Amino acid sequence: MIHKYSVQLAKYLSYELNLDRSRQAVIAYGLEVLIGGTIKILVFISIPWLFGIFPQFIAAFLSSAFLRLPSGGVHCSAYYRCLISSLLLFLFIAAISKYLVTFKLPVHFFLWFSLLTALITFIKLAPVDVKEKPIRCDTRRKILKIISCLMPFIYLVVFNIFNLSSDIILASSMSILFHTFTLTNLGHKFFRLVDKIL
Amino acid sequence: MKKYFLKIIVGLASMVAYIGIYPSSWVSLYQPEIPEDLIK
Repeated sequence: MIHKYSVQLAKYLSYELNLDRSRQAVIAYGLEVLIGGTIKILVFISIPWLFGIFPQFIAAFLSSAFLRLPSGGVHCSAYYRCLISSLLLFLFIAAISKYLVTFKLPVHFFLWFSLLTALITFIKLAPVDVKEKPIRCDTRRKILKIISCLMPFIYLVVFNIFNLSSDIILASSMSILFHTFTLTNLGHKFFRLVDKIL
Repeated sequence: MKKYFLKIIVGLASMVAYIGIYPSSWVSLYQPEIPEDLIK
């Protein structure tokens, strides 16, 4: 639906401003990303806030998002599937971490474990591209791999500088682990199944 | 005034598209199909 509206809006803009056809496709793509992103941000703020798990949700979401930038990962085949699956996933992680924090768990061990797993996976697999947005340039691929491999170290520094609470560390650790999972073949199969179910 | 407003929208959409645009894969698990012009 967002795709359809973006294309229509881009057509209208091209007509009004006399733009050529290739520019129209770029504008439609930009609009789709913009509109989709805005809706997602609104949903990702309001729903976790209603459930009272906003800090854990944001920690999980940001931990995954910053890793996703260079390392890529699996994608759903439609916008609404992505919105529902990512919302449910981060809500689940946030709720679980809020609940588990009542037990005295070695959260720093979980963090180290998730970062180490991420590093090994990034060395082996990153960046994982998709057919909708392939990475065709080898230099770009190498740069993304280097950035991906640096990210776990950056996370480690950030987590050491800021004295974050246990629930936030737990939510981030689970999110990092899940992101790592989405890079693997098993992760791809899992998301194909989620795609079918939704 | 209307054209000025429309140009702002076009500029913003073009900027989002041209800077590589990871926001889509950032926040979500969905990646809209990228135009050929952007992957050349």
